[in-house]
This record gives sequence, structure tokens and C-alpha cells, in this order.
Amino acid sequence: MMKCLVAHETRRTKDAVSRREEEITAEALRFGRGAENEVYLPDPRVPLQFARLRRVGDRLVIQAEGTADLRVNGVVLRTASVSPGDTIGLGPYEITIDEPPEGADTAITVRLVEPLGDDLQQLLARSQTGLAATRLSKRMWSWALFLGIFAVFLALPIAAFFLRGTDEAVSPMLLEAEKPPDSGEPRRWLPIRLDSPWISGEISGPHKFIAKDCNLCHQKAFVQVPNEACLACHKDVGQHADPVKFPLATLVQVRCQQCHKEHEGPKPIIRADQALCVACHGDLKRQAAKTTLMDTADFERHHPDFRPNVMVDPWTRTTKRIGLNAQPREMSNVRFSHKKHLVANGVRSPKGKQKLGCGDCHQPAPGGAGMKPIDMESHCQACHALDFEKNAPSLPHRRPEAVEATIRGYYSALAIRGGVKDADAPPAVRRRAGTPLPVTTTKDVLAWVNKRTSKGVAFAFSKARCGFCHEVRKDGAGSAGGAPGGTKWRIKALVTDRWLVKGNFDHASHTAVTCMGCHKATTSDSSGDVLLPPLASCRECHGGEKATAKVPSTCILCHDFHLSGRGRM
Amino acid sequence: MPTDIHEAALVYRGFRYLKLAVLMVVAAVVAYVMHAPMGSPNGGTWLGYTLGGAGALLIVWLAYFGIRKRRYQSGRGLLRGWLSAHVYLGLALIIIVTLHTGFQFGWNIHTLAYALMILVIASGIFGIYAYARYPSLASESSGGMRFDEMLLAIAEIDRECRQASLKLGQEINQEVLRSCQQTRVGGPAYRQLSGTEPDCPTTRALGNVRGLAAQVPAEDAGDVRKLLTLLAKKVELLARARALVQFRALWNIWLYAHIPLSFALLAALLAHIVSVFFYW
Repeated sequence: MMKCLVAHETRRTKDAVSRREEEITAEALRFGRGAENEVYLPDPRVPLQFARLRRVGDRLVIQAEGTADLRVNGVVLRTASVSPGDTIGLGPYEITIDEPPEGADTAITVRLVEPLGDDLQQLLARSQTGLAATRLSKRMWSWALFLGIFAVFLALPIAAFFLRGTDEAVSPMLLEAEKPPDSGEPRRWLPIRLDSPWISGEISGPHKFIAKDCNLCHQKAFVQVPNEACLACHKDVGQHADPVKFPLATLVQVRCQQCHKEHEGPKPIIRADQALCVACHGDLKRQAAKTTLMDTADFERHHPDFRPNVMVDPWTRTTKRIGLNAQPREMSNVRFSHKKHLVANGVRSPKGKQKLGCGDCHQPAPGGAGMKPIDMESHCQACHALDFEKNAPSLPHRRPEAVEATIRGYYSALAIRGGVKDADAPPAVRRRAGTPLPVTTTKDVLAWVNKRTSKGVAFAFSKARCGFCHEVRKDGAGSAGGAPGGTKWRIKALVTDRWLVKGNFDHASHTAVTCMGCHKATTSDSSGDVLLPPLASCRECHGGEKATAKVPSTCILCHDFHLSGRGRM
Repeated sequence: MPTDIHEAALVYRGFRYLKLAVLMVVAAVVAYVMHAPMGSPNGGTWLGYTLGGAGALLIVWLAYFGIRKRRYQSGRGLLRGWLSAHVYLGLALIIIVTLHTGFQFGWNIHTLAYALMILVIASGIFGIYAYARYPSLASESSGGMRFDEMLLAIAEIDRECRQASLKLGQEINQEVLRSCQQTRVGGPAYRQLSGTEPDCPTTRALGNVRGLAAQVPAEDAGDVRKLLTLLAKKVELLARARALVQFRALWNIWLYAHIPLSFALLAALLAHIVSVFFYW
């Protein structure tokens, strides 16, 4: 049996310790959470049976029970011999061996050195019960996003604009000539353009080749793209109207951008709406009192009839625009009947009856928009021969001077060669061919050549030859003293190249329609007929801007805005 | 009369700001339909500039609400008016600014600003929903108990559990100790928002103690039953506390998107306006 004084020390506050003592007499002192233990350690961290302290001879021995270890003076052990002054750690408790007082053989002090603490405080310490306690932060993200976006999308692009090197501001095309060979792409101090996030929309297709160089157009900060930026490439763009005759603010003080809006996607940036045109051309006299143009508003509802530009006097090269309703006549000085050439069973030709179609004479010009001019040699001469005498070469289809010179040359050559079988000819001309021409006969020979030339020319310009198709006059100046090289005969054939000078018509895009569908040639007996279809014929297919059952056609389908011959923009 | 400031804001002065917002939207739509700009509609026409200017002013003014909200001396009534305007005019922005874009979008600062604005408004709409729904859900699920009362009760149960298990075996004591020392309510944001705690030490302790109860000697059966009752009560209290934390988190989480995105929007808006006129 051992008699032991057990003191329990409990720390109440930081400095106050309460002490409770009890005297226990037992075989051994058992430590543990179980109620049967002599030294009861009420803490869930302590096993039911923890350790046993007993006397062996005059020594005190402490021994661990179960699986838990002891800490004797800080050393982990299972069994140890202890003496006063030693400290034994049992879980959260610390047991000190004291000097036994009078009447006892052992004394110990039990202290709870690692209390469990306040449950609520610990629960609160472990738990984060509001978002403010988490790592989420409104302030941090607000600043980070604000500064990040400010830097990437504003500060850097502006810095790049002002720091850009001169080699970046070159146009690949404009400075082509000045660029040294093999210079390649312009150098950049960064692999990407910092202002690329500023693009407000896809650039139009034709401008894509300069899409990477914003500053080609956007030259100065906070200044709209100047006209000069556009005109640097588009040098030859014409004015809409003569700026001297029509100094209209709407035409002169205008920026390219007002009509040509860039960054609107890949479609062309040419205005196609008729409102632009109708704004002025709906009542043009109010804008320009001197105009001769007629008002228009919509192709289907309000468009003036065609006013072809017809030749009224080819001798003075005078043309005039006359409305189709006023029966204009094309005074080309050429006589030609489409009707006679398009007869159903064909025309007489050296090869027999030949059936003609439009395409036998009218062939598309390169590009297909217009037609090649009619050419006498290739289109007419197979039937309409230009001979003036048997065995003589054909006359050239050229100016009257050339015709007369050809005839004179023919007779001169005959006279020089001799052997001409002509009873009226002087002997020198009739002499044996190849013999020398006596000098004394020159006058007679010249007179014969002149006589025959004048007869031949009269025949050539008669209704039998040139006059068959051409209006011929014999009031020309001729040459001084009738010297060779001149003629009194005059022919002036002027066919108008284009009747509709204000509009563009593309034959190539109308190949689905037959020629006769528009041009009533089979009934035309005179070359004075203007074989243009009336506007109504166009309207069979083409409607106004808002047409739903016809081809919607705005002004620029046929008319250009920037016109040539009126000066540059 | 609704007493909650947020509900009161929605009906403020007979829907005064709802009417104003509808008026602005109708005016913008009518102008957009009537307007026949050159080319396709975009932000650079006179109507585009008008709608964009109106949108920008509204955004700055609505963002000013954030500062305004912090000055409570302006009074509850005034604050209610501001909140009402903030909600309805903010919603009107969707239409006004979409018309300003002319439905032209791309990978650029301009569409970034638009997208941020839509995100700010979307988070705000969730905010309206959150303020309308979660406070009532929270008070329903709390069963009349305040949150700090729940935590106090849990702490009290912890103490009682330890007491009840003192005489019980080591394994049971370990479970109880883990339940007391490792159980938490809430946690990181995702945990708060989910309202659950997978592998909660208390739930595990309840299950394990139940399993161990059979091996306990007959004289300790009373203690085990008491312990099981306590643990079950704690599990139930924890579920309620976590639900409350979840509702409070859901109720506030949108602000963590709304405010940072608003700042992002202000920066993008500034960059949008400056860049448009810088490269005019």
C-alpha cells in the first residue's frame, strides 16, 4: 500500500491557480478517464486507463497502460523510474513528482496544461460564415479589372500611337517607288498592333490590303479621316458636277466619309441608296437653276424618258439630246436600211442568197458592255464593192482625198507604162508598152490622166458607189490649181457612238434578252431611226429601289456619281 | 405596404422609374425603326451617338449609385428612390445600348464594353432575384433561431457530448473529439454557396458511434444513447446553420460580380469612347 498526496491545480485566469488536494491510499495510483481510476483525468483526449504509478522497493515506477505513451521529462517512454522533481506528461496533463510531506510516502501535482478551450470560440475560429471572410474581394477585383482594361485597351494603344516609328506610317503602295528594294514588310517594334482592339468593324474588301495600317487613314488623334488620305490613292476620282458652274456646298464642302462609310463589313462602301440622289435630283432646279437635267425620284415611278444624244448635223458635228417621244432622227449622213438587210429569205450576195443576223455586223467590244464600230471592209464590202474600172484595184474606204489619189495614181501608172487601148488617149499613152515616154508629150499625158481621173472620181462618188450609202457634197476647197492630193468631194459620216451619254448600259449582262427584244430593227427602213427601246421596255424587268417583283434598281445601277470631264475631287 | 427596402424600391412612387424606363425604351425603339441611316445602322449615326450618349450617361449615373449607397445620411426614402431608378433604368440600358450597337459586334473594345454591360445587368438581375427570394427562404429555414444562437447551441452540445462520452471507450471518444474540434460551418466561398459539408466530422461521428454502440457494455448504454441524441441534434443544427450561411452567401455573391464588373465596364466604356474619337 502507498499513501499519496494528490494535488489538482486548475488555472482559472492568467495569474490565479486554484489547488485541491486529496489523500489516496492504494496499491498503486491509476491514471485515466475511467471513474475507477485513483487519479481521475476528465478529458476526452485521455484514455480510460492511461498509466499506473507504484512503489517498487524504495523506487517509484510509472508504467504506461494500453497503447498511449508517457513523456518523462520530455522523453517518450513506456516505463520509467521517477523521483521528486520529475515531470510526467500524460496527454494534455502534466504530473509532477513532489517531495512527500510528513505522513505520506508520495506526493504529486496534476495540472491540465492544454485545456480544450472555449467551444464557441473554436467553432467560430474554424468557420467562415460570410463571404466577406473568404478570399473573394470586391475591391481587389474592381481595381484589377479597371486598371487591366484601362491599360490594355486605352493606355497602350495611345502610347503606341505616339511612339510609333516613322517606318510604320508608310503605305505599302504609295511609297512603293521610294522603298528600297528588298525592304520587305515595314518593321514594327512589336509583333502585334496595340491599337487592333480599337477596330470598330471589318474593313471593306477592297481596302483589306491596307487593313493593318490604321494610321494610313487615321493620321491625327481626334481628327476625322481627311479627304487627302483617300485622295492619296484615288487621285483621279472626278467631280459630280463642274464645281465652277455648280458651286454647291453639298458637292464641294463634303468629306469622303460622309458617303463612304468604312468598317461596316466586307461589302463595298459605295452608296447605292436612291435617297442620296433624289435629295437633289428630285427637284434639281432648286439646287442648280442652270441645269438642263430633268428631275427624277424613282426608276419605276418617276424617271424621265430617254433623251438620246443624236447627231443633228454631221457637217458641223452638232449633237442634241432629244426625247424619244419627240421622234429624234439620227442624221448620220449614212443611208442604211436594217429592214432590207434583215429580210427573211436573205440578201443577194456574190455567194448567192445570204441570211443576215444582228451579230453578222454588230459584235461586242472587249468587256462586252458596248459594240465594236461597224467596219466597211469587214461588214459591207463583200457585197458592196468599191471598184471603179474593170481590172483596176478596189478603192480604199477612206477619206475622199485618198479615193481621188488612188484613182489618179492608177491612171498615172497606166500612162507611164503605155499600151493603153483608148481611142481618145494621146499617142504617148497608146505607145507600145514598156517603150520610153518622150519628154515632149508630158502635157498631153497629164491632160489624159486628169480627164480620166475626173471621170473616175465622178463615178466613184456617184450613187453607184460612195453615194449609194453616203451623203456626198462637191463643194470642197480642193487643192490649189487642181494639184494632186486634194479633192472637191466631201463625205461626212458621223454615227453617234453612244446615244445615252448619261447612263451606262451593259450588253453583256443582258444576253438573256434577244437583240430584237429591245431594238426593233426589222421594221426600220431608215438609218435615221433611233432604234432605242423606250423606258417602258426597261421597266418590264427593272423596278425602283423598293421593288419586290422586279429587279430593285437604284440610280447607281446605270448612273455614276463621280464623273469624268468635270475636274477632280 | 412592403416594408423591406428592396421590395419597396420596386414599387417606389407608383412605379415612377419603371414608367420612365419604358418611355425611354419606346422612344429609342421608335427612333431606331424610323431612322434610315446611310448604309447600315451603327453607333456612328446621329441616332447612334444619341443612344450611345444616353447609355454612357446612364451607366455613369447608375455606377454613382454605388457611392451614393454608402452615404446613409441621405435617408432611407431617398435611397429607395435611387435603388428604384438603378433597377429600372439599368434594365432599360439593355435595349438602349443594343440599339446603339446597331447589332454590329466583333472582337474589339466596343463589343467588350457591351458584353461587360450585359454581364453587369445580368448580375444585377440575379441581385433583384436574390433580394426577393433569399431573405424569406433564410428566415423559413432558420426556424426562428438567430445564427449566433445556432452556433452557441452547437458549442453547448459539444460540451455535453464530451461530458457524456467521458466514461466511454477510446474509439467513441476519438469520434467525439474530432466532431468537437474539426466541425465547421461555412468555409471558403464555394463551400458557403453549396450549403453542404461533405465528410462532416459530426455526421461521421454520429454514424461511427452508432456502429460502436453495440460493443458498449450494458452499464454504459445510457451514456451512448444520450451521446447519439446529442450528435443527431448537432447534425440537424449544423444543416440549418449551413443553409443559413448558403442563403446569405447567395444573397450577397452577385455583388462580387456586379461591382468588379461595373468597374471593368467603366474602364471599357472610357476606352470605347476615347478610341472612337481618337480614330474618328
